[in-house]
Amino acid sequence: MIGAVIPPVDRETSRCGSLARLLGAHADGQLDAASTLEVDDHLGRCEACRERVALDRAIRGSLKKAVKTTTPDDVRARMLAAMAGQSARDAKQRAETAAATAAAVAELDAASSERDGETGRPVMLRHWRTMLPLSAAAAIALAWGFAGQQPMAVADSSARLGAGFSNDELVNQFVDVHRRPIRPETPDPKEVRAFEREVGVPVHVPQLEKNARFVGGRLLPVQGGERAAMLQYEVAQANGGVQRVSVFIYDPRRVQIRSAEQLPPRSVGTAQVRVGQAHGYSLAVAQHGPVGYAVASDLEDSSAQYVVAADRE
Amino acid sequence: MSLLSAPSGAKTPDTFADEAVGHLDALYAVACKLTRNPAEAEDLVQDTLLKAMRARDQFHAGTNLKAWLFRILTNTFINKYRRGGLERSVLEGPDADPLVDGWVSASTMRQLRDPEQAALMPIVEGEVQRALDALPTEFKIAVILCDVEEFSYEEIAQIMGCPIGTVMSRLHRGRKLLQRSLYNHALALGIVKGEPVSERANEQPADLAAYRAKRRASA
Repeated sequence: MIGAVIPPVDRETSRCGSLARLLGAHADGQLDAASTLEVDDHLGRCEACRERVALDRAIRGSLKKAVKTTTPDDVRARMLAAMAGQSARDAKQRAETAAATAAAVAELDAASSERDGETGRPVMLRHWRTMLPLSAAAAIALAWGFAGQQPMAVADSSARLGAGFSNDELVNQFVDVHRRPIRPETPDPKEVRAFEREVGVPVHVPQLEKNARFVGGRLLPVQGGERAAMLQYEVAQANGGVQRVSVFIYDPRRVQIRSAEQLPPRSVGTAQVRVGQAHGYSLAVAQHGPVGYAVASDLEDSSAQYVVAADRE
Repeated sequence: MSLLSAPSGAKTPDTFADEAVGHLDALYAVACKLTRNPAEAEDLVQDTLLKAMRARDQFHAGTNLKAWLFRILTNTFINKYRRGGLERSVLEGPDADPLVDGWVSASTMRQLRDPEQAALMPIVEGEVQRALDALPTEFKIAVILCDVEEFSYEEIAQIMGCPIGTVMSRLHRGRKLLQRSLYNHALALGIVKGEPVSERANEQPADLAAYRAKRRASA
């Protein structure tokens, strides 16, 4: 009965502390029923907290006035123009994508010889940003290829996951080192270029995209005493996250990703790209002139984009 | 083949763009408040709208487009203007203030919002504006999203990429800072009487004892 000797006003005042943080949420209507009742009850007894809430409400009114503004007409006009421009670019991309998809399908239909399309196919040079819808379409093509040439009109992720590399030591190594990256030897692109001596082919550090930060590069011992260069990037995402991307550069005459041969090629821009899944990661493989590229990332679309961005350098 | 010719289930660009433009005033108003510079605000809004259009495949139709746009806007702003680690340490440290904000009496709070002080309202509003500008960025964003744009705590948590508890804490501390600057300003103008409140508020405010005594007397 100790509580009985405390004057009611003090007991109520002492609750201000525990309820202070709830007052705002109460005014915002964000409390659950029990807490709302508790705060209601307290507000009925505590003048100070009632005033706190009332002052808060008055400040909110002033805040709205302070922030609210209508967009000036010239600003609005420039926004609409910028968006219209983006819309036009998107529409053009969609048209190109449709054409490229048709070309890819035609190629699959003639799937008997996988490399004959290199010269006969219409070649479209495209910025990598435009290729997202294309690689989504190509994912359908992959599913097709993996169903043992049985046409399969599926585009969901389960079909994508079915498109994997068969067990391949090099693929395992690339994906493993992407999953648990070894610290880069150097963040300096100049020093990375010097890896050419070890790798046997030119090692450029491609600028993948505006949001991509080059973290660093290192040499990676691979099969048969050969070496590949591994370049690590971090790509800032629109949602605030960061995607890691690993670019592997190697001499395809001496280092071969054999299981990639079993994946049907996609035509992306001027490049032949093979994309597959391994251990939950995506690996895209392409050869450009004498240089072999492999890109590991979390997303199939990204890998395909970046492998092309890499060999554009 | 119809499946192949429609590779993405996204909205058509025009519908999407039209809906996005519907939020232009809100985006621009908040961008002005965040950047405090009309040219930078315009850049920020344009970046936001174009990013949204490029990434519209990632937007799930039927979900809250306004919240999604604000998420892009705040992320873009924070990435571009983050001022190093100082502000973060302030934000993520423990709340230095005592939980009980008993720094000012009920009658003083009433004076601060009293309709009889109507003539002083422009001054008070000017001070609220100034105080908002002075808030740490994360507090400012939380307060604007809640009090001006009227997003729910859950939406604010999604926009700011933090737990709801963090949203509540940022709102609480942001509003308390606003109240404090308003009080100090009113004090300086002689609208209210009392002691100025410093950043480190007293654990036991001087007027609490008097307040209790008054309450006891009136009880």
